[in-house]
Amino acid sequence: MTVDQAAYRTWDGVLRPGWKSVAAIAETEIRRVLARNWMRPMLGSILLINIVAAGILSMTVYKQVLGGQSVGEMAEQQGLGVIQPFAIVLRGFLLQVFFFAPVVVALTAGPLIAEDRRARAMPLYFSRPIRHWHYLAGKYIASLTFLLMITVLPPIGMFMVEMSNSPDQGILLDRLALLARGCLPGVLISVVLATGGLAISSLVERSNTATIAIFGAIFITAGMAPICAKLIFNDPTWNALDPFVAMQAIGNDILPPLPSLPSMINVQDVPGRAKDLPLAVAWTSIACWTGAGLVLLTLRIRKVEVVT
Amino acid sequence: MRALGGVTLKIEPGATGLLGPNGSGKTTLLRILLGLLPADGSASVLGLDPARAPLAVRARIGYMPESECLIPGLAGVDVVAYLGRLSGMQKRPALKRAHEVMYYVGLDEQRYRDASEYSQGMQQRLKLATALVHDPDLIFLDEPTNGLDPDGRADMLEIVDELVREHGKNLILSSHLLQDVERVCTHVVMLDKGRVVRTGEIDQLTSDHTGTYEVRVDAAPDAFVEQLRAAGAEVAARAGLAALLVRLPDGEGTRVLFRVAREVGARVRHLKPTRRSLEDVFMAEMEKSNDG
Repeated sequence: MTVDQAAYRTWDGVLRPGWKSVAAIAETEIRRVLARNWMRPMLGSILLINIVAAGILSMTVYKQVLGGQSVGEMAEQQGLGVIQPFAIVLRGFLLQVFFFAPVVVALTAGPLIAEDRRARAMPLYFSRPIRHWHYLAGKYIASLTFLLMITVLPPIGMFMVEMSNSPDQGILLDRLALLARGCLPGVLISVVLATGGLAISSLVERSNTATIAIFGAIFITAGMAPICAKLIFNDPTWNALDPFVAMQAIGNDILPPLPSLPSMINVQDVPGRAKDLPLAVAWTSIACWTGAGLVLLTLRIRKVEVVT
Repeated sequence: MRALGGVTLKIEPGATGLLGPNGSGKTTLLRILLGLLPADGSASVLGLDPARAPLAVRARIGYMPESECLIPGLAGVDVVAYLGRLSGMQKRPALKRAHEVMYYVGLDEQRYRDASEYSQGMQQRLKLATALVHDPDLIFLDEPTNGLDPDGRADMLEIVDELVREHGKNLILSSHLLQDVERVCTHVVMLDKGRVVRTGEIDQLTSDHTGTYEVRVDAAPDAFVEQLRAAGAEVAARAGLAALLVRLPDGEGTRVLFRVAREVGARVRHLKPTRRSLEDVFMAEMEKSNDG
């Protein structure tokens, strides 16, 4: 852009503050995250996750180019039904996501507020016509975007490929509800992680500290849950302290049953602590973690706004 | 903690200086006017109540904070455009406008550099650019010359002065530096310990003399000085000038000067009421405030 104005010029456009500032914050935060040095390993993680979905896509290409079979057709021949391969892959996929999601949230959500606090950016933000929840919503969307890229985007891709190559194309529309159910566990864990990550980020002033603290919080809750469940209270309900276990329990319940598959991947026989967790307790756990994170986050940002 | 108390003031259009020592409540007052801090009383900014409609107030105000602050990880022009968008501008107009104001504040060649690499002087200019990006009706500048070298300070004051005089901008300049306020502002509000100790037009405050005159006579002044002192006047030589500073006794007019001059065989060649500097006014008010 060429600028040839030597003097101050007035600007006669119309200002429309409000929700558009949320989009501006989210967009800028995503750009800031993508510009960081450590984005390469994280992008690698996201790529790896999406390769799972690409594997199914390659089978589709194989079918269309060489006349081979799609996953759906193979499943039909085995008497499994079109939906079951999706459920199998998704169940395994979500377990893999548990490993990557903490990495992604620690690296993306960790610096979002901590860096602003360190750079004392709050007066710049809050002297603008934005409310504290505009600021939080922008940061939240940015954090959630990266998490959803690994928790929801691949299942959607898998589902679309699977369904579009099934012998009966009409099944796609009939099964959209299934897609929503398949994505729900990923959305839930993303919401919990983004909330917790931002809440921790708002407590510290260094992005590295925030990143380490997020990892620490995840491992501590994951470690404390079985200790409480087995050693202290001798009640499996306490496993719900770990939101990943709660999410797993919800995922097990809402994914379609797989009666004709080996027991190791059946809903009822999924190994681990989630098996014994009542569904209501699992939902309560997710709600409590999200609520606690949001309350902490709101209180922190209100305070930061006042003391800037 | 009560940072401000009993503050009642009206700020006229134009440039007003908020003058006071550190901790006197200048920044707190600005934050209340921005709707960032709660206050017991009421305020009206551009006809709007900052407590009830803080967003509407902030949309019309450009604020340059005192503290070192920046949005990390963005180039200078992107910081300005980003804050323009947060003020309610569309994306493209905000970017175009950001280029214009970066040019105006003298950062055109540095605009694509990461803002965190800017020197302190450049960061001050950047903060000014962020305050100007949405072309606000009113600008709050909180210690705009903080940390600047003499050249940088002169440049900053020149830009601010130009905004007021040539572009008709209204601004409130908060500073503990009297010269900055004197250079740019037409009005002043003096604060101390959270209270307003004096407000008014700077011209009026500095011409508000207390019976002191600058006097020059055409003869040797010794006898003149002696006679004046005998008449109850306080006399001092003004450093660097061949004139005397004469403070007349209470209730006496300038006639006594001419009478004394006649008595010693001299003639008064120069007589002018002295103007106090803003510093004199400020120091006097601070003294009064401390005594009170």
